[in-house]
Amino acid sequence: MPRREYKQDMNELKSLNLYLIRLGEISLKGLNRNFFEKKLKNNIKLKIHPYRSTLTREKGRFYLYVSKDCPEETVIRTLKTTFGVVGFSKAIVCEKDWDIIVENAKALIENEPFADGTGTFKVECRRGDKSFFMNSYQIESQLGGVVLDRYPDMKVKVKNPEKELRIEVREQVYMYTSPIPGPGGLPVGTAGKGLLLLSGGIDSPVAGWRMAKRGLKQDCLYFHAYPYTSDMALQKVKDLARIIAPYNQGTNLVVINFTECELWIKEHSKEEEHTLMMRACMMKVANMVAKKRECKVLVTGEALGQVASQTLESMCFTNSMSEIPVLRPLVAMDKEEIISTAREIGTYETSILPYDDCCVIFSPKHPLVRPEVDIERNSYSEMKIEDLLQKAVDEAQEFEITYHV
Amino acid sequence: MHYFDWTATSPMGQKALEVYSDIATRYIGNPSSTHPLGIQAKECLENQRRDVASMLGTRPEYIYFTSGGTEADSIVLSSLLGSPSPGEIITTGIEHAAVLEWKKALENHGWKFTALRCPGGYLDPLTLKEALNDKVRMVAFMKVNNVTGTILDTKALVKVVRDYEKQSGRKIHIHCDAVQALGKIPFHPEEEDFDSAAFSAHKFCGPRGVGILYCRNKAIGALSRGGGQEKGLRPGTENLAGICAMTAELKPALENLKPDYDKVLAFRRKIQETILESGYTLISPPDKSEKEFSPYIINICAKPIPSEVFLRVMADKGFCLSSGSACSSNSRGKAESVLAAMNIPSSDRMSSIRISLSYLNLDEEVDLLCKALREASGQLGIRK
Repeated sequence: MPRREYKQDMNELKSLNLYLIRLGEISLKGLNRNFFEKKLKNNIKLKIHPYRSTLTREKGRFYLYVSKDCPEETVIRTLKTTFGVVGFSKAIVCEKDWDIIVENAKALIENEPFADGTGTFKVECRRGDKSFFMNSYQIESQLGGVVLDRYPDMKVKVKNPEKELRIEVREQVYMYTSPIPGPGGLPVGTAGKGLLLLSGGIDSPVAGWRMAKRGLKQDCLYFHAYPYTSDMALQKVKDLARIIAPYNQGTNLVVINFTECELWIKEHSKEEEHTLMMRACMMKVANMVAKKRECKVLVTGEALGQVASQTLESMCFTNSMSEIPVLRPLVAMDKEEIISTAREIGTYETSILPYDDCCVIFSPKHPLVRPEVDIERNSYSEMKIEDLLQKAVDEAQEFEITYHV
Repeated sequence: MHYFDWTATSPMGQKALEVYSDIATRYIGNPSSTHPLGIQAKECLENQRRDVASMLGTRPEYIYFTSGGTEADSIVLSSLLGSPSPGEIITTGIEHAAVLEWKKALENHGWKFTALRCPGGYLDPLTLKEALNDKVRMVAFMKVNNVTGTILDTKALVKVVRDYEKQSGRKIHIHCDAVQALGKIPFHPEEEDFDSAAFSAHKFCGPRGVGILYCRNKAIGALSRGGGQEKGLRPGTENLAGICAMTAELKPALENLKPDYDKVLAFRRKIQETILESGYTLISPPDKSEKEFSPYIINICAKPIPSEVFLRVMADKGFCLSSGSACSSNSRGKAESVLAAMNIPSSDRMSSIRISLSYLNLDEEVDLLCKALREASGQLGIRK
């Protein structure tokens, strides 16, 4: 913690709420740790804006001071959706006066997770300031007594307790309870920028979320084929983008009008190749959009073997149509696992709304399951669809999706 | 927008609007109240009942005012639940959800619910005859199918049931859902020998939330519990203004039945011609069919385009059409199940479009619709 923080007088601190934020992987970084931490700080501050906040760092932790007029809910939502945060707890800062410490401890245990007054707990103390008149053990047992007086049904358990009350005696006294888990991962933006191919389905929002967790900031790309797909389907995709936007520190949704291209594909390719050709075109368009928007990779929600266009052979073909790498974070995941993540991040209910993102007339009854790359690449070039794709990219619509939680 | 979804609902007519506001302003009493304003409202209500009865060619005591067709159907079907010994109800697979959705509830109470298939949209009297047995206590079928406009041969169907009654000595209740028939084709519940029939006001420019149950079987019980209105069969304060508004529209509808029908039939012929010329398939029976159909409803198939897509294209061109019945577009696949019960192949079902007409449609509008249908066919590659 920088010096000026130490000098902050108690009056000023009283107008701010304090949260302790635990960092996981980032604190293990070496010389570039600063880069990761700076990004995380910025990500948190931007999301809490317009409320005032200050972040300081000490011993692999962030101390987040937020002005009291910011609702606690906003802070919690922010920290729960910011990658890089492993856990956080609301803390109390007070003077090194035993009566004041006890008073504050009593106030703290009125809240979650102590509020229900049941289960096991322990008090853990770290005494940085060795000049304090009580030692760690004494502080722990005294405060343990305070908790037991308030909640006689609770039991002390030193190994793996359900709840913890922690106290740190340093320049000031910091008290906090067991942390609320954060999403972990790396701060968004530290890995650069990618382009997520977002459909209205269950998988692609999860794929985007997974890549954001590894620090990849993403723009989203959607292929709209009105009137073959409805405006409700587009609205659904916008809603999905809105749900994952906070994790991604906001995003831009690029909507391609794909109708003419789909009709062209239908006219100019064999029925069993429709889906493959469509995916090839999507890759081409995605490459053009990625170049324009300086995205270094594509991200898709493909899982190996899930549908005909996601067999190894089909993936080899679609891969061959992209100049930049295609990341498939769900490639080895089961549908059930994907669904459980979708539920967790809140996209599932929207994903299953019955507005299809592809019309049955473009889906062949018996699609090619094991295509050969060279033959399909040839079929693709025979379609001569480049001009139409370029036109679709030129006429793309863009929507900014903000990150406010 | 040009409106071609009259089977779903029709806008309230001018007469209905005027009568509604007049009655709602002048007759403020509750027909159950005993003060002069209540008595006045009661008199008005009974006059309406007499008028409706005479228009339907029946007696006032058989007429009950309800909140619509669904409630009228439900009163009749739900009364089976009160029976101490469950039996069987025979109906068709092409009924409105107001009838078919009773399957679960009735089966839970031990009833057998038989929905007969209707190839082409018609119930063969022989099929019904074969299905009849000693357990059957009720037979319910519609007069005009709301998805394709086929008219069931109710005379022959009733005869089959009545003959069976004579032979078995057991009474069978016959219910008819006539929601799409009233005001469009001649319909006389008494002459046809139905025990009950359901009607809805908003299909003939009356207000929504008003319907009629014709019922001469005293054993039918109420669905709701309440203050004993409508002889206890449909408790709840009567919607007097709504009922008056309905009769105000029913009268001219019945008086002009023939000219309106002829006008709509001419529209239908024009549309049918366009359809057959431009690659669509007819799901409704053709104009020259020996079997009967209502010209008010024409169901077509826009293969290979899914109904949903076709509706969007037509909506963008300014036409309100629907796929299947409006009540079932909310839950996917129900109109499809009606078409399945007609043995329509599944590839046709998913491209089914319902165009429904009124004498209030204009000639020019129908021409525009034909033009739009031709255009859409070219754009979307509609083919047989």
